[in-house]
Parts: sequence; C-alpha cells; structure tokens
Amino acid sequence: MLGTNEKLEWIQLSLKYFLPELVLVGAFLILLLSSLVLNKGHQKKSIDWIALLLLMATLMASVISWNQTTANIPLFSGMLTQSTFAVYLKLLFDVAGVLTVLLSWKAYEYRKAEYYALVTCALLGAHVLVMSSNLIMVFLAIELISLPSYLLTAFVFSKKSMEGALKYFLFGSVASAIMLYGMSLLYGITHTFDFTSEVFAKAIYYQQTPFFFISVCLILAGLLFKIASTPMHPWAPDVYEAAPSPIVAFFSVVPKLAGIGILVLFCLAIDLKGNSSIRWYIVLSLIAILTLSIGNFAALLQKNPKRMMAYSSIAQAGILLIGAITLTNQGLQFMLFYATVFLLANYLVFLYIGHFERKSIVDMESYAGIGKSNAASSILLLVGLISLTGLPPTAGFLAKVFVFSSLWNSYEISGQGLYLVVFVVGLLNTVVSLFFYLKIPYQSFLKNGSNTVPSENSWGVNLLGFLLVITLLGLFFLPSGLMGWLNRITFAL
Amino acid sequence: MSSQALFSSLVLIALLPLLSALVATVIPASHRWITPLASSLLLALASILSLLLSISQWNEPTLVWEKTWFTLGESTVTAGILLNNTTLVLLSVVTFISFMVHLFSIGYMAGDKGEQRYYSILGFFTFAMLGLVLADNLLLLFVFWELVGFSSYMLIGHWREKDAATAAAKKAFIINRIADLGFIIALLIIWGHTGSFSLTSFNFEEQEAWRTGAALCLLLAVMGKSAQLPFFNWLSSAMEGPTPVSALIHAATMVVAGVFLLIRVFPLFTPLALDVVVIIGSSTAVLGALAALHQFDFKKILAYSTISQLGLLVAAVGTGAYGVALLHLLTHAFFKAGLFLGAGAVIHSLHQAQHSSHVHFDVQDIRNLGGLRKEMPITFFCFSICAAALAGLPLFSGFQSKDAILVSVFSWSGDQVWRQAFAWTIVITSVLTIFYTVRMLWFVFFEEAKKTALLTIQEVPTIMRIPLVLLSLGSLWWMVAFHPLDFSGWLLDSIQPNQEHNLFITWLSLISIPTLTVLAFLWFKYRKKPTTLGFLQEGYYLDYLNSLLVTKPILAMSTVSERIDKKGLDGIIHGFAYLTVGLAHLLAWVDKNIVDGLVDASGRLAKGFGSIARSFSGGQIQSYIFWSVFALVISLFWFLFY
Amino acid sequence: MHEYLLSLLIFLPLIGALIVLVLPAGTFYGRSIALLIALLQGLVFIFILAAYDTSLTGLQLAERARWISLAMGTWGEVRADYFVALDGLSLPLVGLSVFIFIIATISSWKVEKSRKGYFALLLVLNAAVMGTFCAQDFLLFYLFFEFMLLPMFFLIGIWGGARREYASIKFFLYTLLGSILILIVMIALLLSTKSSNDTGTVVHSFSITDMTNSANILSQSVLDPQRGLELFGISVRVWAFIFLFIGFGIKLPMVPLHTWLPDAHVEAPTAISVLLAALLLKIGGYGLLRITYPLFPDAAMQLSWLVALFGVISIIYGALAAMASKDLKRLIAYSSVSHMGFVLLGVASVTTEGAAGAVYQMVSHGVISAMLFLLVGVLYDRTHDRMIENYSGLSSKMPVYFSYTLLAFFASLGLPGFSGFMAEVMVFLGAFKSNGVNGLIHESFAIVATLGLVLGAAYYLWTLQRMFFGKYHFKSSTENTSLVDLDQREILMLLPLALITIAFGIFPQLLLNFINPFADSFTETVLQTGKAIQAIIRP
Repeated sequence: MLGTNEKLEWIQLSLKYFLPELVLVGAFLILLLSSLVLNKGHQKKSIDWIALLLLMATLMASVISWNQTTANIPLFSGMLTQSTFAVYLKLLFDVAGVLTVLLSWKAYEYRKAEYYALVTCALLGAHVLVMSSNLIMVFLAIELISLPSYLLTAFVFSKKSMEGALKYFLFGSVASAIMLYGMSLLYGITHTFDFTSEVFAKAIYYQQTPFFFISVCLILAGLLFKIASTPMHPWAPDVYEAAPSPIVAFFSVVPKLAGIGILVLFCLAIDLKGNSSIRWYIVLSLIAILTLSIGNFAALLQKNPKRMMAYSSIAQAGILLIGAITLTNQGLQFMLFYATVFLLANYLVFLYIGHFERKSIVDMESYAGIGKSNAASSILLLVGLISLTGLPPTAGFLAKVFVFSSLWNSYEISGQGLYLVVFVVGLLNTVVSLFFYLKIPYQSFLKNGSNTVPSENSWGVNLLGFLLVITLLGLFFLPSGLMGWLNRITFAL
Repeated sequence: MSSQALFSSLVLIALLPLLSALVATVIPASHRWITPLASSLLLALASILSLLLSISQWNEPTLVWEKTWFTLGESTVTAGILLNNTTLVLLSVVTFISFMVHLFSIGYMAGDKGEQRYYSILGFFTFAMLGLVLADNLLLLFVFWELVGFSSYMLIGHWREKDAATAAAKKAFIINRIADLGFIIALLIIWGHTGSFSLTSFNFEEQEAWRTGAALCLLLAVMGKSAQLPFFNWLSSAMEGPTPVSALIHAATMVVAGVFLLIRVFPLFTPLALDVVVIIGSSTAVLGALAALHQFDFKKILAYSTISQLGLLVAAVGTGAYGVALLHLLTHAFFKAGLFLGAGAVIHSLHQAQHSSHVHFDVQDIRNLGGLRKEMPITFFCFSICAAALAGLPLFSGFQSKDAILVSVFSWSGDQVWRQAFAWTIVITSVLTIFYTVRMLWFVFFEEAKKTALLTIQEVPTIMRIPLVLLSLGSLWWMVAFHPLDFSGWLLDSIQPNQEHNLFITWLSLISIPTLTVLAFLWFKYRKKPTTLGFLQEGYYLDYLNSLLVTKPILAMSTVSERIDKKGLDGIIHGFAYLTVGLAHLLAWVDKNIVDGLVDASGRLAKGFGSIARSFSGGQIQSYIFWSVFALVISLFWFLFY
Repeated sequence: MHEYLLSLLIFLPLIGALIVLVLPAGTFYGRSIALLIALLQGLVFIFILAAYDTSLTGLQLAERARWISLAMGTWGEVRADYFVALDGLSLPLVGLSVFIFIIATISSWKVEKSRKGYFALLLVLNAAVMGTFCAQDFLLFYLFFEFMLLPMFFLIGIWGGARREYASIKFFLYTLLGSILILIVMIALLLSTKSSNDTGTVVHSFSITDMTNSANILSQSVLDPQRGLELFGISVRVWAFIFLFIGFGIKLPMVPLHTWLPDAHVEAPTAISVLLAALLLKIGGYGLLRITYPLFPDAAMQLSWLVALFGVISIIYGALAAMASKDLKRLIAYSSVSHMGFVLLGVASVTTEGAAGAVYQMVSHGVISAMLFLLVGVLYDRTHDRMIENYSGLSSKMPVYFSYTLLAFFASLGLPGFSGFMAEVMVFLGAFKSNGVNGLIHESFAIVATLGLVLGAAYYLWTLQRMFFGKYHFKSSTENTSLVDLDQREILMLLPLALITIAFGIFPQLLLNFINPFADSFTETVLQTGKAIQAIIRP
C-alpha cells in the first residue's frame, strides 16, 4: 500500500497527463451550470457555441497530450495508463464529440445544456475506459459511458424513445452484471485487478483452465455490449431508432471504439504475447464473422434508415474486430485507420439522416426522388455510404484494403485457415453490404418521389458534409499523413 | 510497257468499275438517266484497256508487284498484283462480260426503282472480281472473295420487296459463308505452317497431311462459291435476282471465282486432294445436268446447267489439266452469258408484252412459252448459237473445250477402274447436256406458242441485241483455235502447253454429238409433254435437307441458349439474390417470431413478477437479454467442449 | 507540355464535370461544355500521337508522382504512385475512348431529363475510362476501374428504360463481385512483390511494371512460386489467375458471366449503351492483357486452354443467343458477347498475331458496336419500339438509315474491308498457330471459333431480311410515329465511325504500328517469364 505522500505525488504527476479529462470534467460542470444560470433565450442562442468551444478545448488538450506521449505512462498508482494508443482513441472521441455538437446544432432545443452535459460525461467515460489498466476502472468507465447513454436515448422525449432508453438500460444492466461477475471470478484466479501487471500474467499463465476461460468470456460479453457486437447486439436497432440522430452517431462511434480499445488491451493481456494456450483468435474470429454477417444480413431488410445504420454499425464493428483479431501491431494500426474513416463516414451519414429527419423524411420510401430536389445533400450522403461500403475513391476503400491486407499477411505468416475464412467472409459481406448501403441513393436518385421535398437552404449542413467528404477523399488520396501518426502508436501493455 | 505503267494500268482497270459504282451512287436522282450510260462507258473503257493489255502482255513472264500491307510481329503480309496469262484471260473475260451485262441492263433495267443502286453494286461486283483476279496473295484474294459474295448478296436481293429474292440472297450469302470457313481454315493452316500467304510457293516442309488439309479446305470454299455438291442450291435460288445479274454471276464473276482459285492454288494440291476434286466435280456435273433436265423454269435450267458445267471445270482441274479448265471457263463465260442474256431478252419482251396486254402468267415457265423463234428472230439466233456451244456441237467453242476436258479426264483415269467410272460420268454429263439444251430450246422457241400466243411480242431494243450478238460471236470455234476441231490454240498453248490429244475421243464426239442432238430434237418433238421428277426438280431436296440438318438445329440451339440465359444463368443469379434475401428474412423471422414467441411466454411469466414487463408495448427487452445470455452460454459451451 | 499530356487527358473531364455542376441548373450549357471537353481531349490526343514514338517498345509519355508511401513497421514500405503512361496497348484504346466520347456526347444532345447531372456523370465516366487505360499502377488502375461503376450505375438507373432499376443493380453487383476478386489478388500481389529499385527496407510497390518482373516476388510470400502454396490442391498462383480471369471476364463479358450485359444494354439510353459496348467492355480485355497474363504467366500457360475454351464458348453462345433475340438491341448486345469472345481467344494464344488481334478486335468492336447501338437508338427515338417482328420493309422508308445499318451489320459480321475482319483473322491466325509455336491451345479452338462467322452472318442477314426487306409495314404500338430518315446530327455521328471502320479494315498498319511492339513484347514476356517460373516450380 502506498503512503499518502506517495499518492499525492502520483496524483501530481498524473494530472499533467490527465489534462483532456480534466477539461471534460470542467466542461461537464460548466454545461450543467449554464443550464441553471442562463435563461431559456440565452441558452438557446449560446449553448451550442459553449459546447462547441468546450469540446474543442478538449480536443486541443488531447492533441497536446498526443504530442507529450511517446511511451506508456502509468497514472494514478497504475489504475490508468497513458499510451499512444489510448491518446489516439481519445482524439477520435473528441472529434466525435465536436461533430456531435455540430450535428445537434440548433436542433433538439429542449434541455440542450443537459444534453451536452451528458455527452461530455459519456466522452469522459470513453476517455477513461481506453486508459484503464485495472478491471475496476474498466467497470467504472463503462458505467460512466452507459448511464448518460441511457438518458441520451430518451432525449427525443417520446414514448418510443423512453421505451428504447429503458430497454437499453435493462440490457446494459444485465451486461454489466455479467461482466462484473466475470471480473470477480478473474480476481479469484489472479488476486489482482490490474490486468497489465506481471502478477496477473503469471497467474493466468498457470491457470489456463475452463474456469478462467469462462470468466474472461463473461468480461468479454460486457465489452461486446458496448461494441454492439454479436451476441450482445440486439439492443442496438431499437435504441438507434429511438435516439436522436446525433446521439446515434455518437453511440455508433464513441462507445464502440472505446469498447474495442479496451477489448484490444484486455486481449493483449490475456493473450500473453501469444503464449496463451487458449487460442483467443478463434474466439475473436468467430465473433467477428458472426457480427459481420448478422449485421449485414439483418440490415438488408430494414426500412428505417436509422435501424439500417444500426445493423450497419454492428457489421462495421465486425470489420473493426477483424483488424483486431491478429493482435499484431500492423493489424491494430490498420484497425485504427479503419476506425478513423468509419467515424467520419458514419457522422457524414447521420448528419444527413438527421437532416432529412428534420424534413420529416423518416423511412426509406420517403427518400424517393430527393436526389433531384436536394441534389447536393444526396450526393454528399452517397459519398458517405460509399465509404462505408468500401469503394474507391473514398478512404473506406483504402481502410478496408489495409485491414484485409493485414489479415492476409497474418494468414501468410501463420498459415491459419481460419484467417482465410474470415478474409473470404469479410469480402463477400462487402458485396452484401452494397445492397443496403445503396438503398437510400437508389431511392433518392432512381425513384421518382411523389411528394416533392422543398430544397430549403441547407448550406450549413452541406458545408459540414462537404468538409467530411473532402476528408474522406483526402484520406484516400493522401493517407500517408494519418498513417504516419498511426505508425507512432505502440500496442505494448 | 514499263513495269510502273503496267501496274498503274492494271490498277486503273480494277478501279474503273469502282469509279462506276461511285458515280452511280453520287448522281442525284434527278439525273438518274446518266447512270447507265456513264457506267457502261466506264466498263467499256475497262474492257478495252484489259483487252489491249492482254494482247500486249500475252506470254510475257509472270510479274508480281507487292507492297507491305501490314506487319504482324516479324512477319509481313503483302498486298499486290500477280500478273500472268491466267490473270489476263480472266481480266478480259470479266471486264468484257461485265460490259455486255451493263449494256444489256440499259434496256433491261430501264425504269427500275433501284436502278442507280443496281449499277453501283454491279460496278462494285466487277471491281471485287477484278481484285480477286489480280490479288497476289491468299489473304487479299480472300478479301475480294468475300466482297464478291457481298455484291452477289446485294444483287440477288435487288428487288427488296420480293420476299423470295431477299431470302435467296440471304441463302446465297450464308451458304457461301459456311463454305468460306474452309477458306479461313486453309488460310490458318497455310499461315501456321508456311508463315506466308504466298500464292506461288507453298513451303510446307514435308507436312503433307497439313498440305492436303489446306487444299481440301480451299476446295470446300470453292465448292461453296462455284456451287458444287452439296452447296449448289443457292445458285438455283439466286435466279430471283435480275437476269443480267445472273448472267454476270454465272459467266464471269461469283461462280467463276471458285474455279479461278483452284487454278491459282493448283500447286498446293496433293494427288490425294486432286482426286477428291475430281470426285466432287464429276458428281456435281452429272447431278446438275440431271436436275437441269427436269426444270420448268427457264432460268433454273440455265442455273443447273451452270452447276453442271462448273462441275466439269472443277473435275478438269482435278485431273491436273487446269489449263483446260481455264479454256472451258473462257468458252463457258461467253456462251453462258449469251444464254442468260438471251433468256433475259425473252423475259423482258414478254414482260413488256404482258404489260401492254394485261395478260399475266409466269413468263419463266417453259410450259407457257413456245414459238418465239418467229417473234424474236435475233434473240433466237443468238441463243441458238450459244446453246449449240453449250451442247458442244462442232464449230462452236464448247466442242473444243469439252473435248479437251474429256481427253484430260480419260488420260487421268488410265487403267484404274474407279477413275474410269468418274470419267464416264463426265461423258454422261455431256450427253445429258445435249438433251436439256435441246429441251430448253425446243420448248421456248420451237413448240407451238401456248400462252405466249395471247401476247404481241416484239424483239428487244438494239441496245440489248448488241451484247447478244457479240456474245454469240464469241461462242464460235475461233475463240479457242483457228482449227475448229483442235482445242490447243492460243490459250492452252500459253497456259498449259503440250496437252495430250486423243483423236479417238475427238472423232467420236464429232460424230456422236450432232447425232444425239438430232435424236433429242426428235424425242421432244414427239414426246410433246414435258415431264419431271419432283426429286430432281427440287434440286435433290437440298433446301429441305438444309433446313432439317442446319437451319432448324441452329435455331433450336439458339432458342435453347437464350433460355439458358434467362432461366439458367439468370436463374442462378436470382437464386443467389433470393437466398440472400431469404437469409435476411430468416433473421427477421427469428427476431419476430421465435424471439417474440418466447417474449409472449416470458411476458406471461413476467406478469407475475411485476409491472416492468407491462411498461413496454412489445416487451422485447427480456427476450433480447434472454437471447444474448443464451447465446453467450451456448458459445461458452461450444468453446469449452469443442 | 508533353510531360502532362496524359494528366490533361484524365483531368480535363473532371474539371468539366465541376463546371457543369457549378453552373446553375436550367442552363443549357452542360452539353456544350461536355462536347467542348471531349473535343479538347481530341486535341490532346493529337498531341499525344505526335509525341508517341511507334518504334519503341514499352511505356511512353510516362508521368510518375509519389502518391502513397507508407512505412509499415515490419512490413517495410507500401508505395503507390500516380503512374500513368501509354504503350501499344493503351494508346489505341485511349484513342478509341476519346473518339467515342465525342460521339456519345453528340448522341446525348437531346437528353431532356436532368441534363446537368447527366453530363456531369458522363464527364466523370470519361475521366475514369481514360484513367483506367492510362494507369500503370495497380491501385490507381483499380481506383479508376471502380470509379466507373457509380456513374454507370446512375446513368443506366436514372436515364434508362422501363426495367432500368433491375438492370442497373444487376450491372453494379456483377461488376462489384468481379472487382472484389480483383481486389483479393491485388492485396496478395501487394504483399508478395517488392519494388525493383529498393535499397535496404522492402518496398511493396503497386507498380504493374514491378509486379510483372518475376525477380520482384518476395521469397516465402503467398505468391512465391518456390513456396508453392496450395489451396484445395491448386496452387495459389493459379487461384490468383482464376480470380483475375473471372474478375475481368465479367467485364468482358464472357459466357457464363455475361447475363448483366443484355439487360444493361437494353435498358441503358443510347449514348450509354454506346459507351458500355465500345469502352467499358474493353476494360476486361485490357485487364487480361495488362495484368492477368503478364503477372501470372506460369498459371496462364497452364490455363490458356481454359481461357480459349471460354472464348470459343462466348463466340458461339453469344451468336446463338443473338439469333434468338426478338429485341434488336438485345441482339446487338449478344453480338458483343460473341465478338468479345475473340479477344479471349486471341489473348489465350499468346502469339503476336493473337495478341495484336485481340487489341485490334477491341478497337474495331468499339467502333462497330458504337455504330450499331447508335442505329438502334435512331430507330427507337422515332418509334419507341425495338421489336424486330414489328418492322418490315424499312429500307424503302429510310434508305439512308438502311445504308448505314447495312454497313454496320456487314462490318460486324466480319466482311473484309472492315476492321472486324482484320481483327478476327489475326485472332484466328494466332489461335491456330499457338499449338505449333508454344503449345498453349489446340488448333481446334480456332477452327470451331470460325463457326461464329457463319452464325454472325446468319443473325444479321436474318434481321435485315425481317426488318428491312419485304413490303413496308410497321406494327406500331403508339400512333403518330413518323419514320423520317437520318438527320444531319445522326449522320455526323455515324459517318466518322463508318469511315474509321473502313480505314482500319483496309489499312491495318495504321493501328498495327502501335500494337505490334506491344504484341511482340507481350508474347515474349509471358512466354519467357512463364517458362522461367514454371522451371522454378518444377525443377
């Protein structure tokens, strides 16, 4: 046990690297306060700006810590670890946060301050989650993400959204319970919560038993819930349908990436640098294949764009997992590349889904013919969907190529047939995914709409969409910069 | 003449008909009367030029001009002109006959709707044939070979609104195309094994089998173009075209092209291939003659006669006497052109007469004709001369050339029995020729007038008579040699000298042919009624066989292939699509029914536990959780015990 | 300026597309800009011709700029370049594309429905096609290759006929499936080859030139012949070849992967049919010649008979299906299947004649099929009916139209004097010679393939007979159809095409000047490398 002085010293040291999180905490408080201080009229006018500035600040702080971090730095008595991997993910979260604000711009006016405060809170959870090196912290962080998420789901304040929120909550509680149970089992085996420690590694090295396996699987189940991955995915469509679009975009990216991040760290730990006698890649591969296939096939029949995107994001989680299953540096770097592209494309798509939703274009059929009335919006949306499908000239293509290349490379080195199966299933799923990703463009360009949607001035949305598209195209044509960053990332524990 | 000048004039000769074709195309409809005159004039020029050229270049050594046409890797394909005596003969014949046909057409086609198109294709036809004659390599020759086929398609189908005509045109082209596969395959073999398309040397390096193969493939092409068995039915259908066109096709272009090709590539043929050539030729000859004997259509008699005569030509080449074949080609060109134009004259004036008297019957059916010698004396006279040449009466060119063929056939057959059998078929053909010629002559000109008696018939105009007279003059013995009984004259001595003579055969023909002719006249005079056999009249039911063995199977196959496309291949694709959608449906179904079913069950269960379940409309969340946990447990078990 | 000619060619239409998009809707300038760009490209192409040296083998007018260069830790470096250049294969096809785009733009002159979008997409497609034929870097090639998909999808899907949605989706999925197979091989290739001029660290290059050189195969990689990796008992290299073959075969299209073509053609608007037939199909053949054969010559030598077999099947089957078609456009679409079979046969022979013939056939078919589809379009414009059985005796009603149809039909059925004949003869020569020279395919393939000529003649002449001859008759479904003869705009499109096919039919050297060096080096490379690699596999 550490003495008080030492603890203070830890805290002092750690706070230096904890800047983004501190900013988030501050942001959370300011937002809550602003809802009290500002009157309705002021709030309406300024709250978006305040949130934007605060989240920008967080982003800046993350950038600063990105520049500071070169190796792994234990924080707060080793409860957290600042790593390049974590910081990069945090950068992504913050970008997502900023985008969420932009997507919510001048919409969902009711209780906007609380709304942003909850987003900030979930962001903080995600930040902490990817830094965790301790199972307790993992649990706390997951709850920190989950609780605001439940509330945010309800933010449309309709019966449907309430129902969705409650479903989410119930499902989440069960998942948490399962995970917590797994953690306690694991503690029984290893006598430590710190999964990055030597003690932990040694203990599990000698305990490669079914019992250990079960406990890990229970923990994975909790993580898979956050990723919305099979078999813990069924909540996603209902929740996505219920929640406001910006929040759906947020859900489909931030908790998912945070979950993947901690999953990777955890798997690296239990994999014992390949010395584990349990072959975890089989488990991961199966999860990936199932997630990908179920997500894609289930998306085929969806008539509501948000539900479709829910399944799409399940499928995308599958691809992220494909990047992760090899647990090699290369694979993980490409997984991050994919994650980055996925984030941008997903926000792009939800930007327009939300945009059209506000014009009361809700289900697929009502998109018919808007390719004419809202040409620019439709085209930009198309690019986003293409990127999700993985077709050139969007970064989605390159990202997919990278992920599959690394998989192929692992196959080449190891000769594991399972990798090849994943490879083939993954590519075939790309074809399937085309079916549903093209549904919206199909409706909007090829069908003639009965009701003509007014082509109102939506230059703000289109400007943001345009910027996202440019980034997606830019990452295709000039991926070197981003890959340079990613090359800095190490995946040691 | 300098080589360059010679070359230029040859090119000029070939281009004059093409120019005529162009002129016919560009002259505006308002001035259409210029077309026939201009075209005829150009052809006259070409004809005179080639005659002059032939005379000046006769018996000069072979000349070849070649230029690189294109290169393929390291090989070069040339294009150029090969000039020797054979070329000169064909050059003169083609231009002259074409000129005659042009002249005749001025009268025959006057007032036709498609007159300009007619002249334009006629010019093109002549051009293609001249190109074929001049070409110095096989590929170039093939190019013109096909163009000849194309032109014949256009001309046979000249009357586009007549279904029979367009069908005949299509038939001609497609049957030729089938046979031309032989030409293409021969080209492939020759290129593959000798690396060139040269017409003069075939350097096969001891690969006799391929050489024979190439030769037989070329023979196939010849069989198509020269209407040999079993491809000859297109020629009889081709009678649907305007009659002057028939004259051109039968005498100087199309069908002659095949024989010309045989003569050109004679060195390629191995003894085995040559035997096949004789077999094909002599069978065609006798079958064609038999069929000719049973036709009622004026033009069809002539058509089958051509088939038969072409058989003789082919057989002659097969015996090795290609010079003799060329000789008969020449004589045949004149008398057959004369016969066709004569027939054309008859048809034309009958049509004119019908037009003014409004009596309508088939003027080509010889059963309707008769007694025309009085109404059309000049036509009758010219036609008779040509017919005599066809029958092979002494003093007419046909006698000499046919004599030459018989001599060469018998010298080829030697002591071998099977060869003698084929030699005798040639003799039989000659006898049959006499009979059908007399039959035709009798029913058209001698018999008492039948339906024609209702008409007032006039002789054709002068412009149409000139060609008749000229051609009948060309059917006399002096075309071959000054000695009316000797076939080795100016032509044979220069092409293939030192031909064997067989005085026995010559004398026998001299006696038997006139006798047989007289007998034939008497036979038809007293027999009166023309009879026929359906089998022979229909040309051995080749059309029927065609449709049974080729057309129908191909159409059936095409239907099948389309069905495979629609039902089979697309079916598979659609099947995959359905499978995918089905899978999606399955997932949705599982979601809705099994999950919901359990939901209902668990819902009822949950009712007891509290109010939470009732707060949901669907109450799906329990089932979600249930299923997730269930899946988790299942996978745990699976992982653990796998 | 010479250094940027190709880029100019590729990016001009993109700029054009931007201008069209930026212009306010409702202006009628879209088509003028599209035409202007197409003509400017023609001008650029003239400069290219002037700068191109036919005596040289290999790539010319190359432009190369670093595009993606990623250091990948343990992998070494991954590099993709913006690398465009022309050789005897690309140049004729680029020329064809420039020319066909001019024609297609004129043909689109009367498009009424959302012009702006139409011409913008047309220009984007233009850029993608140019890029595909110029790219010498696999990733770049793939980029352009895929980039053709979407414009085409929309051009068929929005401006097409009644069943346009079905057709466009079918087109899209087929082609996407093909491109995924190509993608798999591209990934394998990327990981298995290194750049030829690297020092120290391994550089994985996408350059096709580097990939062609068998010395650049990394040892112990998947595609290393020495490692001899197998999958289901078949060498991975052979699999790669098969994948590429199928991928490009779909595009070509080859029987039995062709069923998207008739539907796409029948539904597509005229100009798009023209582009599809004249240019997009060529990419399949181009891919075979540029990528499949040179990169896997060993597998090619093993499987050429299969390629030839599919070629022959396509030739015969396509012709038979054409014969059974009742829709004139469908008939012509199937005739494309038949004619593209010759490309397969020519490539499979790996002889100078065959390779040259394949390229020649691509150009020739490009011109002739463009003409055919334009002619169908002319008729459809007037009557909105393409059923053969509804027409009779058209030749008397539309003589000029008939003349062009006659010319196009005969050109397509391989009458000498037209380019198609030359191409087919060369293909036959190569296919026949192959057995004697390199033993790849048997003579019988060539001989059976000749049957295609007869069938071709049969369905075209039958069509002529049914539609154009006989008494005039039109069973119209709509009243007030006036059958007027070709107008000047239509002749302006058809006449150049007709003249070109005749010119290439009579003076093949015009084209062979460019093709010959390529065909020679293609044959030599494939045979030599193929033998060398096979020697490694079976010492």
